[in-house]
Amino acid sequence: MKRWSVHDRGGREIYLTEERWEHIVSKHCELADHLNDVLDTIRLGRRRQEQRDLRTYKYYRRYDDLPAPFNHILVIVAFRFQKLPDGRTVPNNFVVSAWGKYLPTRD
Amino acid sequence: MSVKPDWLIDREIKLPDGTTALLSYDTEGDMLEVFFAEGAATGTVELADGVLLRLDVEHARPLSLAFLCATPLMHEQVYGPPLLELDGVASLPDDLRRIVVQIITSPPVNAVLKVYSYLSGPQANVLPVASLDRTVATTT
Repeated sequence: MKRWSVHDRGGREIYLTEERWEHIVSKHCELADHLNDVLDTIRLGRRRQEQRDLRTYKYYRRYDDLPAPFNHILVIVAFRFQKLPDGRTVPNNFVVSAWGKYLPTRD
Repeated sequence: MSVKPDWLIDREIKLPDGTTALLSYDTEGDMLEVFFAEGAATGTVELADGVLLRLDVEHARPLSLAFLCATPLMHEQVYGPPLLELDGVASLPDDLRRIVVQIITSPPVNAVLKVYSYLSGPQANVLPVASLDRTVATTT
């Protein structure tokens, strides 16, 4: 399965599968044509930890070319672990979903 | 999409107002999103931490309501269903706040999100709080 891997500002590797991207744009069609912006949001955006699950983070970044009135992209990333066949446990950080969002402040 | 991903559970539910909504639960990401209508959103409001309402602002029409980290919201706590403080509502511009309050207190959204006014004392400001409807929580 095709997937895109990027590193956030802290060097953490995060991936987005093509399957999830297709699901995101099928449901949140306002983000169609913004795949690179979603990936850049992870690469360059700020992040905030979710209060209900400390393994989940919201990444957000300002864009001025989104359909009005959106001015930010918000990406949800799950930080998990997976066990490999050889017994090693490795990080499994993946994009869950993404939204266009209006935020009144600049970042 | 041709094949439904194995991490996704989709269920149609009939709401009390006679409409149908699609419950979509992401088992890997622990995200629940309830879709009321299709279409491109013209607004997304974070009602509370991890609770996102997508809407068609011009027509005051809800498109979907998403709950990140949904599992803790689906289970009763010591004193009953967990409440969310809708602290994202107060910070909205007046026009948008009116639309959002109308949407979340009306069908079909109020069948999924039960909104209450919390008053800590006679002089206190009213705070909007909400819980995920039990029927929705147990369906997922």
